[in-house]
Amino acid sequence: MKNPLENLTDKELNELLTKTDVPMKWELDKIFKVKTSDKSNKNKTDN
Amino acid sequence: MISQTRIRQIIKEAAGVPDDIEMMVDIFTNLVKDEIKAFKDSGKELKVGEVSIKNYGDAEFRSGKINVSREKSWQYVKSSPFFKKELWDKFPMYKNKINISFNIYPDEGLDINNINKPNIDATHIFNPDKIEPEERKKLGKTYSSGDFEFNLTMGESNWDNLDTLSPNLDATIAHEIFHSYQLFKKYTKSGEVGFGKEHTLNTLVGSLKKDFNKEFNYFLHILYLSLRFEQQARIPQTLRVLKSKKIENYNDFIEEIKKTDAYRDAQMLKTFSADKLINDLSKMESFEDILRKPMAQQHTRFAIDSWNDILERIVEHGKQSGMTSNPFRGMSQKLLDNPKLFFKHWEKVFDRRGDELFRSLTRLYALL
Repeated sequence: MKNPLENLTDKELNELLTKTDVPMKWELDKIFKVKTSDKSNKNKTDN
Repeated sequence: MISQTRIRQIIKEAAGVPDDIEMMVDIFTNLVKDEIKAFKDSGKELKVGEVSIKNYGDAEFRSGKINVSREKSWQYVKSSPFFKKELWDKFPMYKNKINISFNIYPDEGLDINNINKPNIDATHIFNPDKIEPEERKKLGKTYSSGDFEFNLTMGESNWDNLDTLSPNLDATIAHEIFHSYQLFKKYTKSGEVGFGKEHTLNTLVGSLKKDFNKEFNYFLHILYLSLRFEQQARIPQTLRVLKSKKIENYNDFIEEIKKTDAYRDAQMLKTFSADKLINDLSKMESFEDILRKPMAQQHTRFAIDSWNDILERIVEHGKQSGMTSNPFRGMSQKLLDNPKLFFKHWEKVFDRRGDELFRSLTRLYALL
């Protein structure tokens, strides 16, 4: 396995450095599994 | 003779709640609420999506996004009825970009999963290049290093009555503005940019999270909760919630504090178990575990093996980005060679920090 930071770009690392909170989004993602975020777009694509 | 107001101010500061942020918390809370209200009243169409909610089933949800520019936020701040120039001078937040996003779900979908209504994920983003306060004509000193993101997960009932966004919204805003204040004070007092060693750990937490490793993610989350600058931000946050409750005596206080996020955080710190984490990483209870856990174990092993290298890269990158560099001290090789010793080391740290957070929270009683 690669060094866990190897895939992080300097830009991504910079973003992490300048954010003082780590959102718990990954916790919510376990509860809310989004199938479609915008049905109107899906319908447009389907048509 | 010291005035009653000054005595109260001293008690607040001793408890970790500086008066300097209070006005801006009130103004920003109203700003966010007014923006969401304006979006709602404008009749702008919300996106409608489909979601599968744990313990609830499939449902529709609605979502929206609002971006408040730096100029617009400043216009709002200076025309707010709460704005007092002499208070603002103590912490002159100036032109902050605010991004708000929100998802609206059926109430039951949140209730059944014990999710706050509303739940608010927030981030404060600072720019090391703009941390130096600037002198401006008419205004005097201004501090413009701080943007905010607020992601609200709300129930239909919150959307129907936006007043119910309080006190959670106020509390989250107090937390984020406090971070901006911490950085401002640190820079103006010592000339340092960032939170030092703990800043490096905070960045490490964000960089090591992987979707497939929920066990290690849990450890990283507790590590984040143990950071002192995070614990300090939980004090004004919790006070905002407690002030909205009817608290007449110490028993009421204890009952209410037990319901707060910060109390839950302190419990998470106190109950972290190295043995349980190692056991969780190794036990195979489902087909999904057989697929996922070998990867999770490997990622955990590599994260611990490269722990010091990761910290070093973050410190180096931080220096290039304008952060103040701090003497780098990694963990001992003995701890890094043995995951059990590694997690036991952190278990002790978390236990101590959990006690500190409990003690800080109980001091809030003096302010109610």
